[in-house]
Amino acid sequence: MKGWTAMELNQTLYKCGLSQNYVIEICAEAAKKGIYSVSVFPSMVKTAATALKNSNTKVCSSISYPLGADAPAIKIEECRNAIADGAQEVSLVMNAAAVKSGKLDIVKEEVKGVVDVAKKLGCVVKVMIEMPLLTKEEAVCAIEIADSLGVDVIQTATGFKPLQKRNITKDDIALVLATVKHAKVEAIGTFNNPNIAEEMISAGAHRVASDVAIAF
Amino acid sequence: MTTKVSRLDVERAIDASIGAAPAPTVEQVIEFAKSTIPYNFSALALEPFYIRFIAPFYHDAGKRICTVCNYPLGGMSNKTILAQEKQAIADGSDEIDCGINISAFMSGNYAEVAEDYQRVMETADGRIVKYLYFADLLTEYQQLKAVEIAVNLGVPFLKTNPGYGYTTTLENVRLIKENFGDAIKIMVSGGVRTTEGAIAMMEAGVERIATSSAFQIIAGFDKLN
Repeated sequence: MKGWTAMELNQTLYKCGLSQNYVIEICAEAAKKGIYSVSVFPSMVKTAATALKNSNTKVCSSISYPLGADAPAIKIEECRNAIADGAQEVSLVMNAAAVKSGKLDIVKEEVKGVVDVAKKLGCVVKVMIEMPLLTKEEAVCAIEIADSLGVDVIQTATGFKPLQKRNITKDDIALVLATVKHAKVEAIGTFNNPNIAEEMISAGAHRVASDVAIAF
Repeated sequence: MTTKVSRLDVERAIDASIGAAPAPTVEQVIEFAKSTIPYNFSALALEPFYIRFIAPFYHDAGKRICTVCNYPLGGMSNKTILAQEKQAIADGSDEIDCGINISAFMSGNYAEVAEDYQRVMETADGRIVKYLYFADLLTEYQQLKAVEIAVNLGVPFLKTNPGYGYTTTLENVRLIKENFGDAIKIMVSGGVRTTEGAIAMMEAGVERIATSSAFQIIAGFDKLN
């Protein structure tokens, strides 16, 4: 028996230059398999929302992906626009540079701003914390900020390979779980097979993201 | 080795970026920016978040800042790109390197790509805009199509790639030069890390080089002479 269900998977499409038709195909496949969500760039939210309209599969939009190096006002604007285009969930890339620079006011401003806009519009908020770029202390600080400001789900990375010095492990899941009071944890890294999904779910992840989730 | 392309030519062509560890701290970027001041680089390339910390002292030193929009994956919506661009200009960016709507392009929606980019040009309000078209992802036909859109819009510069593993070849440059001549200037980005590589690009007719190896490229001239 598999140690996970399709409802625990997030199919990501965070790849440069995917065509509309490709996104539509993957959405149809994800819906057919009962996958929880498909995550796309903001430019593809309308396309994905239309493709998934009559399904239970949700549309998630990235915000400031993959670098997170935008001013808070722009991230908030991107969130507003993505929801207007049909996003049911947003996935904000936290500004890792601001975390590392100790500029926590900026981190709080972007997270609070996105949570405020999204909650008002009934949208789920996920925050991507690029754990492989942070020390343990920085990661804990980032997780605490997101958790205390009402983020629904903490994601362990962006999965953008050039930033990925190492993959996400069970230890990252454990660190998030040990730090949060409210938020759930979604495992995201470079996961290319169903065994990793099983490992992450058994480590306590609420959901697992992969760019090949439909093939699990 | 003798060459027509001088050290100063290359220096003046460079858009320098830090390219250290990902997510450099504000302190690291300030230090890097200060270290570029004695050079004749064309611009310092920054992600939007950093501009406000650098612009005041960098402009006082008479230097230029360039920002990346819809970067590095080209997946933002046009409405957000314009907000990002306006904010970058307000924060002190002198030039805008902006990615095209690459999914629309790959879907064959060329009119949408052009309309989106027209708004990017209008928002830049006369500032230099560099049209990032992800050459490394494209066939020759697609590269020519993408550049044709830029030429028709009157964009001053091409930016071939975002970096992050996307590399630009001399063939990419020659293709544009052969088909469009001097109708548009070229900035190469992605994979130019050596003095020899920079010279070869300049000889092929590029006007600018975006690189995270600026100091290394310039230092290499000492060994050529």
